[in-house]
Amino acid sequence: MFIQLKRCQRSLSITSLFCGAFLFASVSHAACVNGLRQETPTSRFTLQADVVTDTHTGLMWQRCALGQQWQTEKSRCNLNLEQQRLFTWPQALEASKASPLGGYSDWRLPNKNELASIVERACTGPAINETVFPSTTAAEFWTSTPGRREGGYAWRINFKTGDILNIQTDQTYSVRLVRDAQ
Amino acid sequence: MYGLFFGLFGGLLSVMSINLKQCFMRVTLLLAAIGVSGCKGAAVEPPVAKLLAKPLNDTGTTFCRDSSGLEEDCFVASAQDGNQGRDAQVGLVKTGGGQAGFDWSKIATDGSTLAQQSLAWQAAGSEAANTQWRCVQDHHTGLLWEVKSDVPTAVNFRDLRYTWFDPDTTRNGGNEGLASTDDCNGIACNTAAYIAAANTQALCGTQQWRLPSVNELLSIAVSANLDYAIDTDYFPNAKNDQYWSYQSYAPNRANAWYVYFSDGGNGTALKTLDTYTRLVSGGQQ
Repeated sequence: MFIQLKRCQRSLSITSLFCGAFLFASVSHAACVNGLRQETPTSRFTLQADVVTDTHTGLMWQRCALGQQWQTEKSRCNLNLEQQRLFTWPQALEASKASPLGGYSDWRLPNKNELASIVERACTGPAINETVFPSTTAAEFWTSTPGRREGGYAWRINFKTGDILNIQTDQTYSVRLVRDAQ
Repeated sequence: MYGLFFGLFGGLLSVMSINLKQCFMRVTLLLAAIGVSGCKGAAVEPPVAKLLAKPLNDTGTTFCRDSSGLEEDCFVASAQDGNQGRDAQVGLVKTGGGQAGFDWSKIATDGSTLAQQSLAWQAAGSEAANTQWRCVQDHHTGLLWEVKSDVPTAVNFRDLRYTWFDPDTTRNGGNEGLASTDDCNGIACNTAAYIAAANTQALCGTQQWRLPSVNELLSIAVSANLDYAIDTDYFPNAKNDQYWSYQSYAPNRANAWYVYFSDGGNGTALKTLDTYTRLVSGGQQ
């Protein structure tokens, strides 16, 4: 799968993996601000090893992004160098169909509202609850929501700050999958 | 020391959660073995729906697009938003009405539900004639929203803009914003004053009015619409512009988040800026 990427994507992936590994090794943590209300406290989630259920929305999330692997002993996500970590929008949609995590077969790419529901605006770099979603890159993640105009746009959320914009579908971003927790 | 505690707690949680996950998988397999799974036609009682504290609205997206932006059949583009959720649900049962998967009812100033829900807003209309209303109840999220007016002297006139002001130090991140004293039809043009007035009045029968979160604003944002990212049949007199949230911008709390009702995205602006404000009530904050 890696070989099938275009050369620019391959080098981008290598660079991203390398930088991602470096960043991970240098332990970047979210900065959460006192005096701001946390909308996604850990108490709202049910932690289940590599998946987590948000009891407020009824959604089950993968705790690692695609291209990461859950490390049980340390409750964190390590980079999996054998897997793709950055995707164009069509690639993200395709990859969302194929995850077997947890024995489930109905994982999907979250829509704009679903992905926004795990943004933690009291924290930055990444704007996420890092106990629930460890090792989250403070960067863009795709949603399944296309832009309303023609021209090839889809919505993404930047987990560095929490901004929500639509962008060209050929950008390469991270993917976190979701499903309905029954 | 804090790290050690967290490490121990995390380790304990991991051990517990592995057993929990195995339990889930085994129960699922067992149920499948006795025919209780998916849509196989087994006559089984559906599970009782859990009461969700913050159920999400769907995005109002009913179309799918290929990567160059051309419309695509959603059955083909099955992984996209347009093929999933309440917006795509055939035979969705609603209490009220609204486009796609949204479920709203129009509410009068006294909190009563309008008898006639399908009449368009009329500038010369009235609540008695059901051609005006003051609030909208969202039956899926449980939130109650205020609606704006086209009457220039109304306290909820659509063109009024407010600075962001919140003296609550558990919420404002150390920056309370600006308590503008400009006049907005008898109320100071800042969000705290507008909220206080709505609560004093018990607008639409509640005194729990507040600024919404970004995600709550997103729950009424319809990104799929072309000009106004909102259902204007229920929310007339809306602006395709910035509406304040209660949330400060963590990297720089002189700013706060707004949702942009031109396309349903968000952004941040100085709290001293005056922009549009739509209050919400209900739910948990």
